[in-house]
Amino acid sequence: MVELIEVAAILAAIPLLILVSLLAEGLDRKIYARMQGRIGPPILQPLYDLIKLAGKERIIPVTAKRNIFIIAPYIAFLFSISALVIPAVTLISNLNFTGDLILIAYMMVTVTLMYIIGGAVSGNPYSSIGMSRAIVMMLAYEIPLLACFIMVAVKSGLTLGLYNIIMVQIESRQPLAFIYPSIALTAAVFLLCTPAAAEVQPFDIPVAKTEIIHGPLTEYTGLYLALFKLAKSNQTLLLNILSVILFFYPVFTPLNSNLLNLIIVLTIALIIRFFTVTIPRAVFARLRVTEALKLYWITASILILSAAILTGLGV
Amino acid sequence: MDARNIDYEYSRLILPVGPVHPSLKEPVNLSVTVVNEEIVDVNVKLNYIYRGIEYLAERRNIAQTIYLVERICGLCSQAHSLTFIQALEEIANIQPPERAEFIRVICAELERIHSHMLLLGVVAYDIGLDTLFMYAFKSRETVMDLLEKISGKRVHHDLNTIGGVRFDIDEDLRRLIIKELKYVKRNLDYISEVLEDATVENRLREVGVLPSKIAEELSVVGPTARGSGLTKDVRFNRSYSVYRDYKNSFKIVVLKDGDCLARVKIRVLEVYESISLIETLLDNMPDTPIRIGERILKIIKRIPVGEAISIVEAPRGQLAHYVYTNGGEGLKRLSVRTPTIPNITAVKYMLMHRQIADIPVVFSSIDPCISCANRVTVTDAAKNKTIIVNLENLRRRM
Amino acid sequence: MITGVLKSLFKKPVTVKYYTKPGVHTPIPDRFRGRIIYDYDGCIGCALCVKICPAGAILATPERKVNFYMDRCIFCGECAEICPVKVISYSKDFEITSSDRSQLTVRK
Repeated sequence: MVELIEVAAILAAIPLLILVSLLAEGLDRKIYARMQGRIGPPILQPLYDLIKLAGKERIIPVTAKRNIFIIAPYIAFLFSISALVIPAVTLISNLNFTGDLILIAYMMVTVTLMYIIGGAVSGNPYSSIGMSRAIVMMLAYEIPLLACFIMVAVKSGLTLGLYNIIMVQIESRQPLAFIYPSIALTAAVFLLCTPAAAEVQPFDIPVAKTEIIHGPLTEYTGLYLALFKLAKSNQTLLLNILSVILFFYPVFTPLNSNLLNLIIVLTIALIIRFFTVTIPRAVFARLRVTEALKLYWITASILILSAAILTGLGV
Repeated sequence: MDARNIDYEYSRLILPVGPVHPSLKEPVNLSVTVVNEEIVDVNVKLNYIYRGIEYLAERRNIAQTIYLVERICGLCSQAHSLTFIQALEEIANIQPPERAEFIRVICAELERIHSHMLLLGVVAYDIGLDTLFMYAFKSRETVMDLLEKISGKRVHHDLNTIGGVRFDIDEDLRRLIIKELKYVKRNLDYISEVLEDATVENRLREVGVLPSKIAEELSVVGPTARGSGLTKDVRFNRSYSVYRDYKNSFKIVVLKDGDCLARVKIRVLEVYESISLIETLLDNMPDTPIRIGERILKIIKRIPVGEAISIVEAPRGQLAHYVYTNGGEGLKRLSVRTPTIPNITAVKYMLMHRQIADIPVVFSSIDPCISCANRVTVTDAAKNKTIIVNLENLRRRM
Repeated sequence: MITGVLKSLFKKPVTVKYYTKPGVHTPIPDRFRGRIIYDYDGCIGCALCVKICPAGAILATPERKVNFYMDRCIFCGECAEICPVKVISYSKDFEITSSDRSQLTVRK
């Protein structure tokens, strides 16, 4: 019986989470507009966009591989939303999966892979350039991101469950990033990778609209485009929530079964989003793909290596 | 049928940049051949929006043609009508009152400011820095509002007429212009600070380099030439109107680097110069009438047969009109040479062996105005060759 | 750059709204030229405006008066200037969009 209620909770969480991720995107757009001196769109604008796109004609190019072209956005959306549900459910109903960190990482990579596959099969020169850029960018940020997960897992007592990681932070009454200097460095790498994973301004290289129109998404229209957009905003929210849970968990709120937990975490996630997504988007010009690769491989690898060395020394 | 063995290089792609592309404001096609994100060939195709303005001009009376000519370009409308009217006034031997010339030049300089601001915004948008785009357009909006207050229109000002201007700059407007230009200047200080930013410089420095030797060979004009170290400015070299007397109130800005950053910086520095020139002109405006008393329909009746070439410095560079009147209120021939035509030939050189990421920024750094630059092209499908019809061919048509 | 961006986060947006208050437009400059006002009875039918109009938006009628087709008008103001009896003037009305062409013709 208890399991049934939990399943119902998970199912109820899905539309709620979609709404939250869209609202977060709307808020981001609003703040971004205000930084530029504009009024900006209403906060619900991403939702309106989504509804409008879903009602539009779905065009499938003749040159595309039809089945894969259609199925890629669905997979991207399903994986992104299920990845988002895991931390949310952990917070709401204290569900304890073992090894869900690995699952989340796997699902995040799949979403990016679906982007690449969608670009590869759409048969457009811009899409194929976007695809090759997306592959390079994935190599650039996914590896440091995965390394971050491993560092956290090692430091929180060789566990891969989000629940256990939260419990470690609550027990020591301090966020993980403040306990160990090595995790502080890891958190820095994670936050550095967030704008690239969210594909915002300095790192929006795969979809750079003035250069290659819309990269892998050039040929996508209607519902398929809406699903991809939803997947992207889900993934950005997931990254922000993860950075709260893994590094800056608000230890003053005990992990009990209510929504308050989720709301506090979401608020901190939005603050993190402001610093890692909105501000870079407003103040940096787009990098070239080689420069982004260099930045990630050099900066992130130095930081991760020093974090690993610190872990080896036991701090 | 013998099977042909095609040696296909799979990393080679022909990218059609345009006619519809997010980074292009007007329809133009750049067929860019790329190998692994490196550009190996560029082909510029222009003729998507041929409008036949020169042809139309031959079928109207001169008073109507003034407004037609103004509508060649949305950004240099003042420059176009100024050029055309200067040519007409030379043929008709009319000397406009001094105050009219002042107002013409003030509006031309205001237009230069808003055109340069547009370029700054477009380049910023192309390098993915939308914030700078918004800030540049903020000051552009101020200038557009000023022009609206002077002439009643934001884009096509309908300001010039044969023998003067139609709207006066009175004392209130004068004070308003000086006040608003101070605001533009403050904004500009901020923009030039942003251009020093590392990520912005990174996208612009050493990109699309046009050495001065090549620039001279291609005879590029305007800020593109001045960015490559050529001292080419019609206001200076072949001054007209009030520029003759106020040569010392502005400097000609020349940078030597020849890259996109130099071309963008030239615009910023030129806006400073324009502001100081406008301020000087506003202080020294003579108190004469703004137009000669004759009605325009009477003036066009007495314009004799004659031809004249008039050259001005439009925001994008040297703009020339060749005007040939027929003595009966109309034109026999109008030929327009816009600055984009020489500048667009330089794009190929600038883009060679660069990355795809540089296409939009290099292309917009020359500030192309495609609709001005369209010419008749005759494509002979049987012989598979394309002829650009030039002035000589067009003259033969008459 | 970042300080400027953060500063404008707390400033009023620069955007000028279409309506400042419901039903009230942002101020329009004095020299703005909108829909034409035509004094039918004062018109002497000289048709100078027909001759000067660059867009061909003014056509003469059999009663020796003129019609203004605002869908072709480019609002240059030459007709108001050339008119010997000054029966043509410009209003500040710029909301002249209509799906019915006859709405865009100024007759009387």
